[in-house]
Amino acid sequence: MAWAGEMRKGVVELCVLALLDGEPAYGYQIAQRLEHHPSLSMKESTLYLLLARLQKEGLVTVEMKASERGPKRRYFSLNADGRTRLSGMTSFWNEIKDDVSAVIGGEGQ
Amino acid sequence: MRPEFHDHDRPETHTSLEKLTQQLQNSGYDAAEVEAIVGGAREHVEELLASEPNVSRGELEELIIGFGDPEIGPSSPATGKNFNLVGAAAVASGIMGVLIMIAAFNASDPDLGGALMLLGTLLGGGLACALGILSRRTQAGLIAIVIGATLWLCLFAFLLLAKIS
Repeated sequence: MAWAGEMRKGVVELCVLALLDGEPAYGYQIAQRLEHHPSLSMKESTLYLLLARLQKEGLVTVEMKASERGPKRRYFSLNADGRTRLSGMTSFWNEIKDDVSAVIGGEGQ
Repeated sequence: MRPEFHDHDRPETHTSLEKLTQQLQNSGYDAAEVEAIVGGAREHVEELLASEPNVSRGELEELIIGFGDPEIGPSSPATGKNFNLVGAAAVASGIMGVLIMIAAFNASDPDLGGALMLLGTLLGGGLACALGILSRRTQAGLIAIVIGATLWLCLFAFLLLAKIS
């Protein structure tokens, strides 16, 4: 379903930003969290590419931390610019969600 | 770009990471994007090995190769772009170098001709090559590299002929 991937692309950045809003997380952890929501589950490579672009845009900061029994991990956390982006995207998402629901529901025909 | 070898990498992990790197580069992802994805693949392998140390070689290879096809395309497509500002500047430098070289061959004063030839090669050819390499993904960049290289070859050929005669 190519169209499903296309639709997901638009919202996955919002979801990743939202997941990072509460506390820092590492890539594997973010992927695991997204797997709990099948419609948002994406290829791991897509997630790392997205994280790299968020970092490049200055929306997230990265910190290396040692884990208790595993490898060192790159923790991503939202910075002030990231929170601003998240806030803007969330507002727009609410608008678009309402509008799409209205159109699908047959309002305004 | 080759993936950095980590001390704790298994040989098959490293080989698969190299293949992944090559695959991503061929798809047009830039160095930072390739590094991010390959780094992610390594993180997943390390997390998997930490939780399941006896994971098979095949599973590891499959996991790594699965990173080779992201759903988001490269930020700078490798193909389909024939022109950009740096590429245009590269071609302009090459043309300027060629014009200076023509002036050098037509100069009546040999000293002036020699100076112009050096100027044409160093300035025109050098800039064309440098800017062409920066914009090598565009046709303009590739053309500039060819012009720049030709200018340098002309200079070397001329110096060789001058030395022989």
